[in-house]
This record gives sequence, structure tokens and C-alpha cells, in this order.
Amino acid sequence: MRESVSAGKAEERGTGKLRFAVALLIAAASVSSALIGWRASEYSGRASDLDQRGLEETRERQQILAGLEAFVVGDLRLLGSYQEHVKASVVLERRASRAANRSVANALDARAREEEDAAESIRRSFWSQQKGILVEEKNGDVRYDRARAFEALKAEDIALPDLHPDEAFASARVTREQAVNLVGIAALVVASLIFFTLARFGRAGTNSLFAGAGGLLLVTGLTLFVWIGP
Amino acid sequence: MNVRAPEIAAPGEEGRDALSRIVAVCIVLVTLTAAAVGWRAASSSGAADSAGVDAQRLSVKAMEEALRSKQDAQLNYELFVRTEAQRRRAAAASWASLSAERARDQQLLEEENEVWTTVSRRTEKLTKLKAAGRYGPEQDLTFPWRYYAQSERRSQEIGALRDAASEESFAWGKRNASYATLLTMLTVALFLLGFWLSVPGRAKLIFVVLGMALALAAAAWAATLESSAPSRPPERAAKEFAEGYVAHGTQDYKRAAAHLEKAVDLWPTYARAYALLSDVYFRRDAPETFGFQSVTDPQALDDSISVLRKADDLGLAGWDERATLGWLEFLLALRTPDDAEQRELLEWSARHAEEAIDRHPGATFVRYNLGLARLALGQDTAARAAYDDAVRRTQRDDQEWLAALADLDLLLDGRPDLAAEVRAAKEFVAGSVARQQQEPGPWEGSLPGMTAQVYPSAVQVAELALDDFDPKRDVLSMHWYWLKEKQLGWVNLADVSGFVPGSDIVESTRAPGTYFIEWSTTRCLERGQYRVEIYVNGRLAGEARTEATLTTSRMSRLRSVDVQLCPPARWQKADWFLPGFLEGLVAPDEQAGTYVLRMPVPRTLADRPPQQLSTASLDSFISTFGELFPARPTFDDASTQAVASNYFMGLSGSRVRRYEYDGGWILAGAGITSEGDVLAGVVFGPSADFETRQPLDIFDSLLTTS
Repeated sequence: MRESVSAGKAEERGTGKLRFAVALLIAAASVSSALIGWRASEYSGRASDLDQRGLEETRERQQILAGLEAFVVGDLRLLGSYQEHVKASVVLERRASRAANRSVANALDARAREEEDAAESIRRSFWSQQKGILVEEKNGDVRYDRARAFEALKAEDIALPDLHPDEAFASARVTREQAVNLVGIAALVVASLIFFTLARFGRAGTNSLFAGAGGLLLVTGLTLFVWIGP
Repeated sequence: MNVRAPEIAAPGEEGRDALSRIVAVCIVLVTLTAAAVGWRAASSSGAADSAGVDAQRLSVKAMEEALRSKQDAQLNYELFVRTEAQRRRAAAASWASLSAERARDQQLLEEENEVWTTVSRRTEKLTKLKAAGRYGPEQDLTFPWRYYAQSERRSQEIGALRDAASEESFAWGKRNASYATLLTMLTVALFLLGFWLSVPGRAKLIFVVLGMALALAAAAWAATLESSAPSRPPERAAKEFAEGYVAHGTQDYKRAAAHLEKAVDLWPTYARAYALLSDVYFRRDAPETFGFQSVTDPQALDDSISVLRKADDLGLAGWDERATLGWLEFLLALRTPDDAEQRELLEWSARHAEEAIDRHPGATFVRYNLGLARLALGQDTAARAAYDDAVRRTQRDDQEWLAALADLDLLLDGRPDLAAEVRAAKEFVAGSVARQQQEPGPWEGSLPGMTAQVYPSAVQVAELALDDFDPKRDVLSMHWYWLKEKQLGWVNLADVSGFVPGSDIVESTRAPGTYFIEWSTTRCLERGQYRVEIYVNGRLAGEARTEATLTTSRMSRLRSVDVQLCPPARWQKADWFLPGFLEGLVAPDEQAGTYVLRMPVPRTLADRPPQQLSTASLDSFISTFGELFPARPTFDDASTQAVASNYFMGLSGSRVRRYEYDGGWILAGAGITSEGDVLAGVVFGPSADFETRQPLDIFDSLLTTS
């Protein structure tokens, strides 16, 4: 009878220790889940900010590029007229030099000068004055290097180098994945909390089972949290 | 704190302990499932955000691409126009050199011609748009619209990619809602299983069973959700959609259907593709290719309405889709023999028209459609109200009211019992639009003897006894309709319908006291039945019909000489080409063809009367350019005497003559244009061809475009 009473007391002491440990684990799991949840929301907020920044930079970049494209298009609009005068000037000059009739030659030459003047006044209106973009060949053919003109304008723009929307979107993607992973870890820790609660208030036969499951989840969660990065 | 010790299993409670363990394991599993679902919910929310951001990014890109491609297309078009202007300057210098009086001037003008010819060749190289190219004016009567339409390919593709991202984001969002429900179910299950701890007796079993049932249902749902994940439609679908869009814009409906069918195969939930495919099916088999396309082949109508309903089911609910759906239901109703089913379709047609009007009150043609549906339903007052709304929004140059009259004929074909209502509605529409032009006078005449005549590219209504008609007081409108096949119904020819200005009502020289009206079409007319109605002051004054047995042809332009014609489809550009002077088309074997010559009046002929000038120009043309024909031609006096009319392209002082060569004939005409040039046209071919209508049809189709 005495033996049975002392065994009961020992069992009661053991259960009391388990209950105390579970209470501590509940506190630890609560604090951890709150911490992980806060980190997850931090990451999530950062991902949204990065997405927003990416979108703003995309819009700003497109706005700048559209503006630069407009300059190039403006040049290309002038190109038709410029080509017309340059070609006419070259052809008239050539025909003037070949004309047998002096009066005809003079008239053609005068027309060639007129065309040349007109061409010159248009040439000055081109936005892209850099060498190699607007090329005039001897036969009067004019070429405009559109890609080069666009690249030159882009190189001169001071705002474009600071705009990297694709990088912002890539960072947002990574950060969002991080946030999702943290939510997963937080879920594990919350699950451990439920187990601890059941271990604390549940039936004697299942207490240790719940406590073990909770402990496993808590350790896994905290390990993952430390591994992924707080 | 004094915490009550857990119950220790008493003897005989083994069964309860076994249950306890099972429930405990279940709680563990449910908790883990809830944790997993929570994590999946967070992950799907992230995927929805990511796809949503992608959709916004693509939206910006699509807008930028649309702007850029429009700018590029405009640039190319401007350069094309410049090339054309340079060619005309070359031709003008060349013409002027012919009539230059001094040798120096002549030489200078010839030099000028050379300069502009060289410059135009160079400018042409700067533009992607070519006159004879697929989207150039020689191939496209709607030039430059097809060219602009094809430039939208890339922006449409990006737009479709944006729609795909948006759809993916929506699908993830929807899945997120499912996860939220799952979490609720699992939480309730946990709550019920948790009751097992505190409720004594057998009642706890109820909670355990309920909790388990909920947990199992949630697990099954979660498993179903996880078996598939929202995915973005393949990029290939966006490409196919863009190709289909461009083909639709360039009126290549067979190609458009092929691409769009592939697009919906790859992306079965793309509502925009279904809506476009519906339009493609309708237009592909529609007899009319200009203006409003009201009718189509019955099978095409079924296909069209079926895919549009699919778009509707997928949530596409723009005013345009509503209006089209309403119209298709009206057409379907007319074909439906069952009265109840017909009525139901007409009700739906009216409802969809009303919804379209709610969303876009400015869509006048939908108001006409609503009036038509109401008339078919026998709701005369509502129909009159809809028509009244429509005509108040109609300008006299609009095409809606012309199509509305043709649509009323469709109703009459399907419901002959509504003849009186249809006629009243037609007169109401024609009269109301006429009154916007001027308040008509009291013209009470009728035109019983009027006749209709159809040429390859013109229509004529003649023998109009307009005795009391005063163009200053009265308003006359002409409406042409064409019936290709009985099952298709009458369609309005919008390009030759509308109000007729007084100057176009011409007194006949053959039958003095009667008048005729002749209008040119913007396309080559096809065989079939034609009908014309004349309304005076909004009252139906006369009607005539004719059967046209025209040969199949397609509109071609000889741009260099500003002439259009309707040759057989297989004829192609002749090698003989003098820009600004001479241009032609020939059959592949070069045994038949047509040439048009435009030139300033030669100085040597300048003092002759117009008819003599035309005759001399023709003879000169035939003799100078004899090598254009298979054999050297000679004038044929006898058959020229038999020519019924000297009418040629509406030119002044025109003359028509016939020439003969070994094995063939030439039908030739010439006259003086309003710009003072001589314009001469010939159609030649083997004698056997001249036993058919073809050469005459081609000759009659010659028209100036300047």
C-alpha cells in the first residue's frame, strides 16, 4: 500500500514536470510564432513594395523611352523630305554637268543649288547630329541608323541608368517566396502550439504523444527559420 | 495554480483509451493538414500577386508597343505618300514636256521627269509599304487600313499575354478563397475533436464523428485542389490570337478562323478569342463585304452564335458583344419555325440590345436593332419608340439607317404577315432622316415605270417620271439591295444607297421627260438579283428589280492613270508600263487584256471638237501601240456602226470604236477628262471571248478614280 502510494506520488511528480515543461514550450512556441509571423509579414510587405517599385520603374522607363522614340521618329519624318532634296540635288548636278545646252545646264545647276540649300536647312533640324547616324552617300542616297540614334539618345539620358524594373521584379519574386516559406514555418510552430495545448490539458494517455509531436514541430520550425534566415 | 490531474485509465477503460489515441492522432493529422493548407494559401496568394503584377507590366508594354507600331506604320505610310507624289511630279513633267513649245523647255521638263523618277525610286526604298505589295493600294481597296491592321500584331500578342497573366492571377485568387474555406472547415473540425476532451459520456462520439467527417471532406477537397494548379496559357496561344486578329483586320477571314481556332484550342477559356472568332465566322460567309454586314450563311450563323455564347459564358460582357449577340438571336429567330422558340429568341434579342444601349447609349445601330426585335414581337409602340430614338441620333450621311431599311426586309422575308408594319417602319425611318435634311414638300407622285440596270461597277435607275419633283423642295433617296442566294436574304449596298443630290438626277436624252440616276460602286458587283427602292420625302415612290448575270471579277486599280476596273481575277499587271501614261492588265497567256492611256491633248489635235479629238486619239493610240496586241489591228467600220452607245466612263466628247486583228477584237473608247486630258481605254481578246459578255463587262467597269 505504501509502495503504491509512493509510486503514485512519483508518477504525479513526473507528470508535474512534464506539465511544467509543456507550459514553457507553449510560451516559447507562442513567442516564436509571433516572431516568425512578424518576419513573414515584413517579407511580404517588402515584396509588395518591390513589385510596386518595379511597376513604377516600368512606367517611368516606358515614358522615357517613348519620349526618346519620339525624337527618332521626328528625325525619320524629316528623312523623307531630306532624302528628296539631297537626291534631287545630286541628280540635277550630274545632269547639269552632262547637258549639251549651256542654258539648260545653268538652269539645272541653279535648281541643284536650291535643292542643296533646302537639304541643308532640313539637316540642321535633325535631333541626332552624332556622326554615323545620318549618312549621306555620294550618289545622294541617305541612310539613317535608327538603332544607333536610339542608343545614343538612351546613353545621354540621366534617369535611365537608375531604372531597373526587371531587377525589382526579380527581387520581389525572391522576397515573396521567402515570405511564403516563413508563413509555412509559422504554420508549423502554430501547429506545435496546438499540440502543446493538448498535451497540457489533454488526457494522461496522450499527453506525451502531443508533447512529442509539438516538440518535433517546434524544433523543425525553428531550425528552418534559422536556416532560411530570420 | 492547482491544476487537475489528468484522468488515469481505470480498469475497463481500455476501449476509451484506444479511442482517445485515435482521436489524438486525428487531431495531429488535422492540425498538420491545416498548417499545410495555411502555407498553400500563402503561396497561392503570392502567385496571384505575382501574376497580377505581370499583367500590369504587360499592360504597360502592350500600350507602348501599340503606340510604337502605329508610329512606324504612319511613318511608312507618309514615305509611301511622298513616293507617290514624286511619281506624279515625274509624270506631270513628262506630260508637260509633250506640249512644251520651246526645245529648251521641253529638255528641262524631260530632265525634271528624270530627276523625280530617280528620287521616287530612292524614296520607295525607305518605306516598307509597296504599291503592289500585299497591303499596298493595288491589292487593298481599303488602303491603308489593312496595312495599319497588320501593324498591330505585336501589341495584340502582348495584350493577349497580359490577359493570360490576368486570368492566371484571377485563378490563383479564386483558389485562395477555396483555401480560406478549407482552413475554416479544418478549424471547426479541430474544435469538434477538441470537445472530446471535455464532454463526458456518449455525446462526445457525435463531436468526434462530425469533426472527422469535416476533416475528411476538407482533406478530399484539398487533395482535389492540389491535383491541378492554375497555369498560364501557352504563349503560342497569344501568338495565334495576334495572327488571327491581324488576319481579321486585313479581311482574310479564312486565315483568321484557322489561327483563332488554334488559339482557343490552346487556351479554351480565352473569351476575347471566342468573340473575335464569332465575328470571323459571320463575316467569312457573309455576301456583303462593305458597310454593315447583316446576314450570313445559316451554318455560319450557328457557328457564330455558338462561339459568342461561349465568350458570354466566360464573362465577356461588353456592349459590342451584347449588341452582336442580340442581332444573331434575331437572325436565328427568323429561321426558327417554332413560334414559342422564336418569341423567346426575339425577347432575348431585345434584352441584349437594351443591355448594349445601357452600356453605350451612342450606338445608334443597336437602337434600330431593338426597334426591329420589338416590331417582330408585335410590340408596335415600343418599336416606334426605339426607331424614334434611333432616327433622332442619325445624321443624313450615316449608314445605320440604310442598313436598318435592309434589315426590315429581312424581317419581311421571315414574317410576311408583318408587311404593313414593315412598310410603315421603313417610311418612318426614311421620312424622319429626310426631314433632318429639309422639311419636304407635298410630293404625291409615284414611279411605276422605273427600271433598274446593273453594270460591273455601277448601278442605274432609269425612266423616273419625276414631273412634279423639285430638288429644292423634295428629298429623294435611293436604296439598292442585292440577293446573292435566296437563303441569305437581301443585303443593302451602302455605297450606292442614300440621299441623291439634285445634280445626280439627269434627264434622259433617249426618253425626254424621264430621268435617270447612275452611281458608281466601290467594288465589282456580282451576279444575283438586284432591287432598288426610291423614296421621295420618306414615302416609297417606286421599286424595280433586275437579274444581273455579271462575270466574276475583282476590283483592280491602274493607279498610274487613275482608273479602276473589274477584270477577271487571274489577270495581272502587263509588262508594258509607262508611268503616268500607259498601264494595263493582261491574261496569263497575254491573248486578252486591257490598257488605259492618259495623256495631255496633243498640240496637233488641240483645235478639234471633242468627239473628233477622241476618235483621232483612239486611232493614234491603236496605231502607235499596235505591238500591245497579239497582231496588228485595223479599224472595223461595220462593227463600230453597230456600237449601241458612245458612252465611255462619263467623259465628255466620248467615242467608242471597234478594231479587229487576226483572231481577235478590240473594244476601245476615249474621251476628255475634267482635267483636260485625253483618256483612252481598250479591251482586247480572242473573237470567241467577244461572243460572251466578259469584254463588254470589263469595258463598262472602267472608271476614273481622280
